[in-house]
Amino acid sequence: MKQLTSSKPLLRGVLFPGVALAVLGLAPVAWGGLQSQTVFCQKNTDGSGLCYGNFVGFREDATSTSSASFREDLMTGTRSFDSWSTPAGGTSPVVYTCIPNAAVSALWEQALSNRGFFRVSWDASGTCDYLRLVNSSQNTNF
Amino acid sequence: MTTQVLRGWLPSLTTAVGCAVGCWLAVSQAQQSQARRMEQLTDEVGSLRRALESSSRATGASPVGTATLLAPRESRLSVEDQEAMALRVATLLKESGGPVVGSSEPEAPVPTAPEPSSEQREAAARAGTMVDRVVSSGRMTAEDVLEIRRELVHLRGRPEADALRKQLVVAINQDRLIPAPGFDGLP
Repeated sequence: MKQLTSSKPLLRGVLFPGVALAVLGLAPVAWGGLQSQTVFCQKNTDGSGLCYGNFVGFREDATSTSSASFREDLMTGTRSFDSWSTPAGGTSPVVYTCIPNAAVSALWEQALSNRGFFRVSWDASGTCDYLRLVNSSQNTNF
Repeated sequence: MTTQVLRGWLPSLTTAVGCAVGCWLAVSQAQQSQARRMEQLTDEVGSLRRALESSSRATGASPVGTATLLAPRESRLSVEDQEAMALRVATLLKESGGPVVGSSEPEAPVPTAPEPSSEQREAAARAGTMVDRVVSSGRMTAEDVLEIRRELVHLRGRPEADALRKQLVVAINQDRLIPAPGFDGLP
């Protein structure tokens, strides 16, 4: 039986294993965890509406004016939510805002320190009547 | 020998990596799709809850699970759980035409604010004039916000301040009032 021998240079003998190892090394980097960037706000003609998204989404949005804020003014006692975002196909930012009712206000401290996902909705009188907060790995970048 | 072995392995390795990347992309897409579906279901449950609350206010009875639905902890509710929740609430509404649980306890009387002082009345009047002017003009500058805020400081916690802020909020949400760029919140 003819015995195969390699007469290739030593460098080439090293190159192919190196390429294979490099390909293997690339595979884990492509397998990062789920990451989300979400920005969504809408309102009806009567002024009621909702916003949801995560802070990293608003911050990384292509529109430089996009923002979402939960606020509390200790001097006036005002608590409020406001968001600036540009609707799909629009050219100007639209402002969305609400003042929490008692039930939503009970979660305001958490909202002020939340770094992840939120969903807030309000009625026609401008009262925030629903709030959901989520801190999860896909919604944060810290 | 080694080179020949690796030459044999390399196509297989490349194919495996390609398949793995493809699978990852498919799973990622499926997860994003599921997240969107959960948001839609949350929206539907929220609408049902608001309908239930409206009905309870009309009849005076306590709504079902309002506190839980208002501020739910982040739970691992599956799509099936959320759909079951929405269906249950809808069924309850249909069966009774209104809220079905909770005793008909009389609502606690809403505490009324004490009468405003003369200083507070004057601050409310000035703030009211400013709010009317701003809403009529359709524009609210940072200076407007500061001026109104200075007056509302005298009305901390009072219903007059809340009413004036709500005027601004409603005008903003109806696109009748545009805050200036760099808007730093309501007064």
